[in-house]
Amino acid sequence: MPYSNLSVFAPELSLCGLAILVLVADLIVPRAWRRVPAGLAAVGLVVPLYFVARLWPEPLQFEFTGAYAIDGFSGAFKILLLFAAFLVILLSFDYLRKLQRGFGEYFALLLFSLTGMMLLTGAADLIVIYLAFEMISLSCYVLTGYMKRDPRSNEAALKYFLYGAAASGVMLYGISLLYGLGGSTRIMDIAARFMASGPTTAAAVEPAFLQTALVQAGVPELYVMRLTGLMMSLAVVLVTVGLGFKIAMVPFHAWAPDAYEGAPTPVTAFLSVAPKLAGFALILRLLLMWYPALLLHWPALLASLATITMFGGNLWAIRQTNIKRMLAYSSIAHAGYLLIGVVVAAKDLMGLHAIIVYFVAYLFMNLGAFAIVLLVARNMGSEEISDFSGLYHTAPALAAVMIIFLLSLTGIPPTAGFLGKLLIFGAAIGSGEWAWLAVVGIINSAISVYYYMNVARVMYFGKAGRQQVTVWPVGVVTVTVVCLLGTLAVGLFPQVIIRLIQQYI
Amino acid sequence: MPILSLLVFIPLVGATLILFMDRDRHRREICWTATVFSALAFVFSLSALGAFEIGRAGIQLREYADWIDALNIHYHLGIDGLSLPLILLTTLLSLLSIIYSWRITERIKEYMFFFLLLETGMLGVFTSLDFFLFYIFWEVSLVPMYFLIGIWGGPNRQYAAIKFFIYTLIGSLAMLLGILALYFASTPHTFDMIELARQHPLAGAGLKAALVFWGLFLGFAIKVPLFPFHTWLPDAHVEAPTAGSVILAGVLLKMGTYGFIRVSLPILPEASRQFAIWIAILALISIIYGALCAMAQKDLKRMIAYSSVNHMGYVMLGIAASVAFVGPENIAAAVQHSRITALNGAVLQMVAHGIITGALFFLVGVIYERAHVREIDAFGGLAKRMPIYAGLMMMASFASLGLPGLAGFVAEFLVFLGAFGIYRLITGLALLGVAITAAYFLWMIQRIFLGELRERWQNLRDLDTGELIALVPLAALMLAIGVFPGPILAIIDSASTVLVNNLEQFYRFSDIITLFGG
Repeated sequence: MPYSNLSVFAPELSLCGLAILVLVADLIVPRAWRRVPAGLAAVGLVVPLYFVARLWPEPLQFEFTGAYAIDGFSGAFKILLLFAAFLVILLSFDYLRKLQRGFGEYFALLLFSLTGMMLLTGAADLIVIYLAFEMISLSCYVLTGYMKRDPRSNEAALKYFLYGAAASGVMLYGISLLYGLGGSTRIMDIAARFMASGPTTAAAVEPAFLQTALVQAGVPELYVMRLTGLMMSLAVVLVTVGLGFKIAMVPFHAWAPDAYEGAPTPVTAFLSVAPKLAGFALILRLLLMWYPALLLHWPALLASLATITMFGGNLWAIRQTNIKRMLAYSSIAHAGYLLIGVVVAAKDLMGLHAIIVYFVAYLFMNLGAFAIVLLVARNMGSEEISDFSGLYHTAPALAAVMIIFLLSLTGIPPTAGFLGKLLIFGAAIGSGEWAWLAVVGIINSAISVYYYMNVARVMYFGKAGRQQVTVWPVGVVTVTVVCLLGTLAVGLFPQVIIRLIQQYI
Repeated sequence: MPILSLLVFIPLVGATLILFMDRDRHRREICWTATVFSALAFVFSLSALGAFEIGRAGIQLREYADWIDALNIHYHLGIDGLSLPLILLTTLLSLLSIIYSWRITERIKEYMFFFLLLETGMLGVFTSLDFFLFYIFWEVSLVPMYFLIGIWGGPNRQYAAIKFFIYTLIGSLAMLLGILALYFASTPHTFDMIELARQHPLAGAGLKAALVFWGLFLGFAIKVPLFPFHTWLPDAHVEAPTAGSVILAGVLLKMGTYGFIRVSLPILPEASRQFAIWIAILALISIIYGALCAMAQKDLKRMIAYSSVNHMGYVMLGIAASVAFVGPENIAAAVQHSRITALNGAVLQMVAHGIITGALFFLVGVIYERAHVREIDAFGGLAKRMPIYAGLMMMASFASLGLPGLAGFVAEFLVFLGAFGIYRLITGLALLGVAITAAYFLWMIQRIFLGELRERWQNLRDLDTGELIALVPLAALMLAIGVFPGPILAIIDSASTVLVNNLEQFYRFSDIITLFGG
C-alpha cells in the first residue's frame, strides 16, 4: 500500500524523463539541428505541467508513508517553477549560440535542477529534502560555470560551490540533530512528537535515540529536557542557515552577487527565481507543519533576518555598476520582502497567498528585466549599467519596457510588483503583531527607488553610445513580451489570480 | 453616459495614439492630438459641471463597478463640490500647458505622451473614491513628472528629478501604510473612502489612529508641501520645464491639500482634531518662512516657487481651522460658521493659487525663453519694451499678493476670516506673510519692469499668440473669481458645509459616549 501510488511523482518522473530524452536527442541529432533537443526541452515541459494539474488535490495529502506531500501550495510553486524554466529556456537559445559543445547538456542540466526544485516543494522528509537540495545545487554549480573559457564564470561557479558545499554541510548537521531528537526523518512524525497534546503516531511514542543516549549517559531527567530544547534550537538555526543560503538571505548571501555576475545571464535569471521558489516552498512547508509546536520562535528569527536581508540587499544594490550584480542584490532584497510573508504565514493564510502572488509578480518582472539585460548585452557587448546610457534614443521601445519592469520592481502601480507588495505589507499590517515589518518594507521600497530609477535615469537622460540595437533574438523578445503582459495584467486585473489562489490553496 | 470615466481616460487614449506616431515625421500630428485630447478632457469636465447639481450635498455623478472582489476593491468614481473645481482647474491648466508646449523642440512625442498620462493621473486622483484606485492614480501622476523634469528640465534636472521622485515616493509609501491600516481596521475590510468616512474605523484607537494620521500626513504634507517637507519644491520647480512647473504648482500640490480634506478629515476626525494645532503651526511657519525665502531669492522662478510654499500655507491654515478644537464653544453656531468659511477659503485658495501661480510660471517661462536668464536684477525697464507682458505679470503678481478684485484676495480673505474665529494668534501672525508677500512681489515688479531699459534687452519681443492663448484665460479667471466669486463658492460651499456638519455630528456623538463613560 505505501508504495502503491507512484503516480504522485508523475511530474518529477516525467521531468526527469524529459531531461534524459534531451540528452539522448542531443547525442543523436546532427549539429545543424542542435536546436531540436533544446526546443524539445521547452515544449516537453507541458507534460509535467499536465501532471501537476491532474494531481491537484483538494486537501493536503501525503504519500510514501509521509515522505512526500502534495497540496495546493506545492502545486502552485510547481507551476511557477515550470513556467520560469520555460522562459529561461527561451532566453538561453541565443546566448548559447557560440557554444561549440554541450548545447543540449545545458538544457538537460536545467531540467535536472528543476526536478530537484519540484521535489523540494513537496518534500516532507528530511532525507528527501537533502537529496532535492543537492540535486538542485549540483546542477546549478555546473550551470554557473558553463562558460568554461570565461574566467568570471569559473570563479562564480567555484565560489558558489564552496559556499554551497559548506551550507549543505551545515544543514546536514542540523538535519541529523533533528533526526536524533525527533526519532524520525518524517516531518510529520517529528511534529507529532513535539505537539503539546502528546504523541499521536506510533513512531512518536518511543523516545528518540538522542534522548535515550543522554539518559543512558546518566544525565538527570530535567537536564535532558533542557538539552533537548537547546539542541532543537541549534538544529533549527542550522537548517535556517542552509535555507538562507539557498534563497540568498543576508547574511548567507555572499555567494549570490559573484555567482550572478559570473554565470551565463540566462542562468542568472534562473538562479534569481527558481531556487528561491523552491527554498521558500520548503520554508513554508516546515513552518506550516511545525509551527507552533516546534518552531515557536522561528517567525521572530525570520523577521529579524528579513529586516537585515531587505536593508542589506537594497543598500548594497545602490553602489553597483554592473546590472547583473545590481539585480542580484535586488533579488536579495526581494527575498526579504517575501520573508515578511513567511513570518505572517505562520498564523495567517493571507501571508501564504501574498507570497504566491508576489512570486508571480517577481517571476514576470525579474525575468523581464533579465531579458532586457540580455538584449542590451547582446548588442552592446557587456552588462554594465553604463551600457544602458541613452538606450531611449537607440531603442525607445526597449527602454520603455525596461521602465515598466523597474517600476514594478520598485512597487509602483499599476504593475504586478505593486500588487505583490500591497498584499505582503497588507498581510503584515493585518496581522497586527508584525505591522512593524511593513514599515521596514516600506522604508526599503523607498531606498530601492534610488537604484532602480538610476537605470531609468541612465536610459532616458544619458547620452547614447555609438552602438545601435540591431539584433533581436526571437526567444528573448518573446520572453520580454510575455513578461510585460504578465506584469501589466497582474497589476491591472489581479482579480483572476487572487481568486484562483484563494480557491485552490 | 459615464462622464467621469470618459474625462479621466480620454487623455490616456490620446497618449496611446501618440505612441503610434513617428517622432520626427509627425510632429504637427502629435501636437494636434495632444491638444485635441486635452481639449476633449476640458469639454468633458465642463459637461461634468453642467451635470453637477449645485447645492446638492454628497457625491454626484457616481460610477461604481466591481473590480477586485477578492479584496473588496471597486472601481468607484464620483465628484462633489470639493473635487469639481479642482477637476476644472486640472483640465484647463493641462490644455493651456499643452498649447504652450507646442514650442518644445526636443522629443515632442514623449513630452506629449507624458503630459497626457500626467493629466489622466491627476484627474484620477480627484475623482477616485476607492483608495486602491486613488493610490494608483496618485503614483501614475508621479512617474511622468519625473521624466518631464529629468528630460526637458534645466541644467540641474537629473538631481531635481530624482529628489522629487524619492521625496514624493516616501510620502506616498507612508500613505500606503496608512491606507492599509485603515483597510484592516474597517469591517468589512474596505478601501472605499465614503464607506470609511462613515465607519470611522480607528475612532477611539488612540495611538494607532495617531500613527495612521501621521502616515497619511506625511504623504499629503510632502506633496503640499508643508514646512519642513518643502525642500524638494524649489529644486523641482526651478529645473522643470515651464509647462511642468505650471502643472506642478497648479495641480500636483493641490493633491496634497485635497488629500487632507478628502481623506484625513472625514476618515480620522478625532486624530485630525487632536493634531490640528500642529498643522496650523506648520502652516504658519510655511507662510512666514516661505514668504521670507521668496523675498531672498535672486532667481525669479525660485521666488515664485517659494511663494507657493507661502500660499499653500494659507490652504493648510484654513484646513486646520476647519477641524480645530476650540474649547467649550466648539459647537456654537458662530464657530461652525467660521469653520465653513475657513474651509471654503482653503478650497478656493487651491483654485486661485492654481490659476495665479500657473500664470506666473508661464510668464517666467516667457521671459526666460527670450532672455535666457531669470535673475531679477538682470532686468529693468521692461514695461516699455513689453507692455502686454508687463501688464499680465503685474496682474498675476497683484492677484498673488492679494489685491482686492482679483482671485487671490477672495480666497485669502475667507481663510483669514474663518481662521481668525478659531486661531486668533496664529492667524494674526499669518497676516505678516501677506505683508511680506506684497513686499517681494512689488519689489520684483519694480526691479524688472520699472527704471531704465538696459541695452541688451532692446530687442525683446512681446507675447506671441501661443503665449497669449495660454495666459489670457487665466487672467480672465483671476478677474472673474475676484469680482464675482459667488458661483464657484456655491459649488465649494455645498461640500464644505456637509463636511463640517458631519464632523461636528461625529464629535458630538463621541462626546456623548465619553460622557456616559465610554
